[in-house]
Amino acid sequence: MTRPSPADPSALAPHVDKGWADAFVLELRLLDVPGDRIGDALAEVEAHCRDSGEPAAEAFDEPVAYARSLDLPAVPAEGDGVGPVVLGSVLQVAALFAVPTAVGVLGGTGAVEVAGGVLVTAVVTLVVIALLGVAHGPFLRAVVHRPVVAWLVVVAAMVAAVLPAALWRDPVLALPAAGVLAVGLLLLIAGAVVQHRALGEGDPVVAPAGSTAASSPADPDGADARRSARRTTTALSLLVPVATVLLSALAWVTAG
Amino acid sequence: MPDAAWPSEWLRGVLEPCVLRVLVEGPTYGYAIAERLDAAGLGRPKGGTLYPLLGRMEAAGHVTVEWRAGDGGPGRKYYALTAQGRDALADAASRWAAFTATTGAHLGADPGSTSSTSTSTSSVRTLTAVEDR
Repeated sequence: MTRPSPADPSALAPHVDKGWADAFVLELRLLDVPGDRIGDALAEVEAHCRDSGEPAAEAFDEPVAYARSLDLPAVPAEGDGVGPVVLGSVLQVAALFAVPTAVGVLGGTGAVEVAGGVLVTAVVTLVVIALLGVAHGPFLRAVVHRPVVAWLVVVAAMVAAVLPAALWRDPVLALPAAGVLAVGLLLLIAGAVVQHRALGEGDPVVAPAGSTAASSPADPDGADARRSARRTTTALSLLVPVATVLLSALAWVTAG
Repeated sequence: MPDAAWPSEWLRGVLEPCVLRVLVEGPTYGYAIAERLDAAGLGRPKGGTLYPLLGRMEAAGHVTVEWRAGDGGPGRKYYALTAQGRDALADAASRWAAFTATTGAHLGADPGSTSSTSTSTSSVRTLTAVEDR
């Protein structure tokens, strides 16, 4: 028998239809309700369905409407939430371009030539990421409720970002490779630290404290769920630094 | 036997004092509250109605909450009446009594006791008599 992972809300609510529970948790997430409050609300639905023998859809009707009717206080994730995560991503994406490029030319002329199109691409990318940071709520709702439209918007944004770099290849700037490398590494470290702090320890949906018996084999106090969430945020924070190192190694090998 | 199928718009106005009244007998959990209201002849409120109300009562300071462990599985959320909740119940109970006395007096008044009503009744009779011919 496979047990659901500790981060899976259905582990907290075995008597609630999985589709209903997922839609309920997703709506509360979109409303910026903290994970422990979501776990509390879900555990109460679970207790009611278990005691009454009624399916959630019968006792509570539609999950999104029920989630909204609870009117739970919205608290953005630790820190300022999305802002620092986006800032960390922007810094790291800049480093992801700068460091491998600088490493690739270190052995040659010692200058990084920047094409006009690359500058435009960088500006468009930063604007798109900044827009996502500001309007992440509507964007996530669109991904959930209108996936095809959201997908088209993402593809259009990617084309708009990449096209200038492909079409305008004339160099407009020449920068010293050592300087670009140093700045790139600084951006990478700063971005990773900012992002890791902003992600914090994650915000898993956990069972309310005191709701499980001491002898219960389930995850008391949500310790497993919190550990699993921490592993996920650490892996996320290492994603761009690892990619930068790999691309730099590749650039070094192909240049040498 | 009491009629459990009261119109939902009637219950909406009085559900909160009724829930507070259940909690006077001691802390209990949502499903048990629903069962007690049903046993009292008020019908069993749906979870989608009861729990948002309990949440608003908690936010208003009328109840406090505590999770208690169940047997081996996840437990139940118990609601306990606060002093503020007791005051709110006393206030709502007296106002509701006045309201039902007022509506009862109004609805119970003899329809034939006013002249305008008796006039209209007699004209309806006349009309029926004309149609019968």
